[in-house]
Amino acid sequence: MNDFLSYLAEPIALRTLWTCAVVGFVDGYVSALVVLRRSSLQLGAVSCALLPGIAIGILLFGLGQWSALVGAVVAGLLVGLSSLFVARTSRLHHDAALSIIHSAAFALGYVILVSLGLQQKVDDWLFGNIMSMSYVDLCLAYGIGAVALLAVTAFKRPLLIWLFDPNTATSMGLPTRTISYAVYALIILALVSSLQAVGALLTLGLLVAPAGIMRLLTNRAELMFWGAGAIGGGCSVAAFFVSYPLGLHLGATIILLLGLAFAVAWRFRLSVR
Amino acid sequence: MVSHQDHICWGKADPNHHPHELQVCRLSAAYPRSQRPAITGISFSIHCGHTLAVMGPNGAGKSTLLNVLAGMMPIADGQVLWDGRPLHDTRREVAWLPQRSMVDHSFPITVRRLVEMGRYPALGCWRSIGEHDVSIVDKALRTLQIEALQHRQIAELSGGQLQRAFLARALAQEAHILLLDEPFTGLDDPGVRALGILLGELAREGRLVVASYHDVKSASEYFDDTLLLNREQLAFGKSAEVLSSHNLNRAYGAVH
Repeated sequence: MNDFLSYLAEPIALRTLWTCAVVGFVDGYVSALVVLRRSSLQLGAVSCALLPGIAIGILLFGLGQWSALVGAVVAGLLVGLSSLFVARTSRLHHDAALSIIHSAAFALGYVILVSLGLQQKVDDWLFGNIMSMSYVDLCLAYGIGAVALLAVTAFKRPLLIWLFDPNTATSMGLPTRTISYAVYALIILALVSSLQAVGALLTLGLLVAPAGIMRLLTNRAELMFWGAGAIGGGCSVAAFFVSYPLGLHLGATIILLLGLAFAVAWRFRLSVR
Repeated sequence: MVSHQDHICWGKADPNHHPHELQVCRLSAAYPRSQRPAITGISFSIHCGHTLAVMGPNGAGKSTLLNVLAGMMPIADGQVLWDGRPLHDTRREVAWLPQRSMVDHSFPITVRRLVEMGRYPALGCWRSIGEHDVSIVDKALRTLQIEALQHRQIAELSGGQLQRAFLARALAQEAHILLLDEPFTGLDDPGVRALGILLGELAREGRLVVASYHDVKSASEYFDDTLLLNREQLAFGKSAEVLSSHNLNRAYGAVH
């Protein structure tokens, strides 16, 4: 216990704690968009596709935070858009196209990272390493969080119409194509901001579970955003205090706590019908 | 800009007022990335206060026509005019109702919030809902007799009730033209009858109701006019006249 207290006194511990809170809140807040738009499956595919982006970023620009991040963003956008393109131009359903592209991309990323001799790093990219997050990463999470909060708050009314039914939104004259690209970009940014904290595989949990939990507890779409943010932030902070004394991996603990919270919420869920 | 009160056709069609007219002239539309037009050469005109059934076999382009009128698909050729001006310049004149199977029933929203969405074209992004909007939403809920359901989640509604909620949203939008895609699908016989009568009442109040419809036998019961199409226009006019066996054979083949 003394060990933990002396660890808490170190500046890196404080920064890690802050990072947990911020990344957890931002991802939780954005997860409401994912859940209300029913795009969790797609997101799973895209998050895996970030790996080759990271690998190619490192291959081209050398090992560094920015090259990895830029690579991840580009890969996320490319995979999402290319799967849309494939699905539109072939008889294959969007789901199938996405699965093929993302697993191929995932394999490519792994091959490149291993051949670059970054085997140790692979674990960090897949499952995250919050301790390795720098001040820049924290600022990035702040920035993305601010953009998400402002955009969702300012455009809540059209956003909810679009989330409920994109076709009606189009018929009301809303720029639905712009909205869907903007929301997609926002989700990718949130994904990237939590990439180092929880990794490409686990980030999916942080971007779906908080809003999923809120959905079980509330019937108000507006509440889902802030509530999911609070749950994401809360579980991440709790995970920080649990993981160190128990010697658990922090990123994995966050997702485990979210899973636990989901089970509890399921027990006390609102009845529908 | 026309004030809201002048604009609505609630309750009565002004006898001195010139009725609004929807004119469709040589309209063609195609799906993106498709060579063949989905519909071509559609021409008709109709006044508000009427119900129009869009009929034809599967794949005839019924939904396409509704989508084009709703501004959801581009016009490839021809014109759609409302009182002589392009319909899509006055977007809020048109309310499109989705097929019930196409919307997410589990979406967390109450009936009242759903109906409030209809105020969006008038309010835009940031103007808050005022007394005027509240009274319009109340009136829409009352007209569709779903006041008692207003605080329910849409997940708790039956098919017919959800249809009414969507209609209430269209009324709250104060649109003159109601476009309904397959509104009768999945309703039982009394439900079909109730909706058919309701659409007639909404039209009598001065709206133009356009719906895709399937049942040849009952069409003339619920709809004043019928547009029969199979990619191109086969017939347009009074329902009873359009649905002659000659026309039906042309549209559906010899089965009917």
